[in-house]
Amino acid sequence: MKALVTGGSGFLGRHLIAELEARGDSATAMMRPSSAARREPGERVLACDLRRPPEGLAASLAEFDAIYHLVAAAGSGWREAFESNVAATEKLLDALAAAGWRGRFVHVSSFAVYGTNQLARGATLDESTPLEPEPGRRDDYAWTKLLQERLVRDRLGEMDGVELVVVRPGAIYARERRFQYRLGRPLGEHAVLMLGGGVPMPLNYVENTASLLAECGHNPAATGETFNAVDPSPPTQRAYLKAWRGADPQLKVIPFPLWIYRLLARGLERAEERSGGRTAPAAFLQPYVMEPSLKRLHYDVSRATALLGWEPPVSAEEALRRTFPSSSESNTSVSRRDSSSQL
Amino acid sequence: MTPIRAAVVGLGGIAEEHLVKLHRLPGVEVAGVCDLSQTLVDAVCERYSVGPGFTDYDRMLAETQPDVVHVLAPPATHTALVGAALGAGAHVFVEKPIAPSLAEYERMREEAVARGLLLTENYNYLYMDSTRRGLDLFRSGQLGEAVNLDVSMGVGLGRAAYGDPDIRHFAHDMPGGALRNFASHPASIVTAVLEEWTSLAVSQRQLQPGMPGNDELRALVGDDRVSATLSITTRSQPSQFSWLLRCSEGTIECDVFGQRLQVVAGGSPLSKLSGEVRQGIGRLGAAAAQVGRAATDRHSYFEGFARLLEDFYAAVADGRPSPIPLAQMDATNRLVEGLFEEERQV
Repeated sequence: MKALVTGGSGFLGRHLIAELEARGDSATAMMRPSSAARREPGERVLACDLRRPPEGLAASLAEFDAIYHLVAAAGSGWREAFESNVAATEKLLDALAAAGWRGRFVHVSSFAVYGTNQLARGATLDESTPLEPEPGRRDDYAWTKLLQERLVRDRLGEMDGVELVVVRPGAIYARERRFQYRLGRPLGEHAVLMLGGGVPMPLNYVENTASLLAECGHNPAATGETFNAVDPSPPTQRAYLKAWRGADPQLKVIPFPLWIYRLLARGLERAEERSGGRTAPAAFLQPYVMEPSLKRLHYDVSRATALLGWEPPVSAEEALRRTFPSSSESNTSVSRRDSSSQL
Repeated sequence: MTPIRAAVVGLGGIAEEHLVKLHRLPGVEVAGVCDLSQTLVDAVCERYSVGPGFTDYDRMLAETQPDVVHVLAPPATHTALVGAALGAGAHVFVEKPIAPSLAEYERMREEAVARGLLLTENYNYLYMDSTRRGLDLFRSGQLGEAVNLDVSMGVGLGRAAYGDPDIRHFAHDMPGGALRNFASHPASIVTAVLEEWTSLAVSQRQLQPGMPGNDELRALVGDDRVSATLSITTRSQPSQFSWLLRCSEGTIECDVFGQRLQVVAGGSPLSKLSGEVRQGIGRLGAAAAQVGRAATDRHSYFEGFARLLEDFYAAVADGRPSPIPLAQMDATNRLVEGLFEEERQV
């Protein structure tokens, strides 16, 4: 199978290409020209910045049987999130329509699209959970990922011969991406402000995400379906950080009680209401923005197994072990830039 | 009372600041928003509860008949967009830089004056509380006459859209490039003190390889009585904007982004001591205010902008001149043009 991976030079993209090649596919990475200039020898690359695609993009898409759409961005303001997540996707969809493209389109959405604020504490989140009803109140990432998924479903639904599969990963992690916003806030190079501690984190080890995406690209039973990508037995924030400290003794974890955080956030919210919006709290202090990351929920991860017969290849324990190997050489600092997904 | 109808054209990153602040202004309604992308227009209408949305600017002007148009598209489009808005009888609030050249600014200005409409360039940092208090103190004459002024602005653009190797930022296509995109901010401080500058010498350099254009500018500006320096760099972190005005009987030092003002008045040792104490208290207050801002306002850079918009809309409502006088816009645009003229370079 000839596969194209948008965002092919990114964190998940590199793992997906390795997975597809291991399955015997011919995988091409679409990447921005500046990244393509640094390609590895032998790497198949389609140099294209989807924000401003070249004239001939439609023609160059025709050869692919499957497209995995991974392009995403977060953290640089709403307009850049819109450009990378929505406008770029629109340009890709325009090119596919112009080419009359037929094949399988695996869209990587996000957990951020769910209406998590509307779920009761302790509820179960699965693929049937309603989507966010008030996208404008969420952060730039959630808002643009919702717009992106809506756009993909609407536009591809109008095209003949396109098999759409939507995958919504939780917080994708690996050794090169340890920090997750579900932990709290990064404080400098080797410190984390842990909000709460007992909240289960819907993590997805990157090789498991890549494996599920590849399965969705091949398995006929995936056609038209939506799958969450979450590893079984989600660790709590405390357990995750304990594993991290095992690999990085320099890491400082500063616990901050969730109830104080919630009290503070609600106080600021009331102050905003009273001031007529003049004192809008920072995003990380807005309950509607942060609560989806901090709510105690159960995650039903059975759908992919039931429909596709697929199992995550790396167990939760092994994934934590690989992410936090207990050797002194494993130190990786907390980095805001690493945490590109505010899932 | 009939609300003032505002329309917005150009839904780039700065549009959020305008839409959020317009939403909070009493007596103002957003009558329409416009951009080239229908998807973007729809998304902005949904997120900011505004609309209707348009992809055809002339249609928006005709259908919404706005009292004010906010022109937020790239500078190369301003002449056409501002001209159409003025032609439709609307006052115009336009993002900096108002035009890629002085000649284009002057054409817009002439048309606005001929039609009796307001044309205002966004010098929001003049409206930061610290800057306003500092300039008011200077104008009160309590510190004597201005002697010299240093204005300095530093922003880190290397990792921002300006340094994107795949998509060229529109600022790089203006004479002066990214430096010009910021020049009106420090220039508006200079022209608040030196209204009629007569001499100008400029040094520009590119110190960071790989970025298009120059990233460092230093200028000497003066008239018969006062001299000023104006510095801009686009490669320093964290962002910083400050000015220091030395007067014949004291100095005023203003940290614009940090919103801190220090005044040292000449006089007896006792008055100097009390000045030091006031400064210490001021620093503590500024630090506490910064913590508060971090928690309660995502956009503290734009606090002055909210005040400027309030004053601008009050002027529209009352039929008064713009809070940014045309004379200051003239002097600022003349200075910005001069900063990038070849014959001024040394």
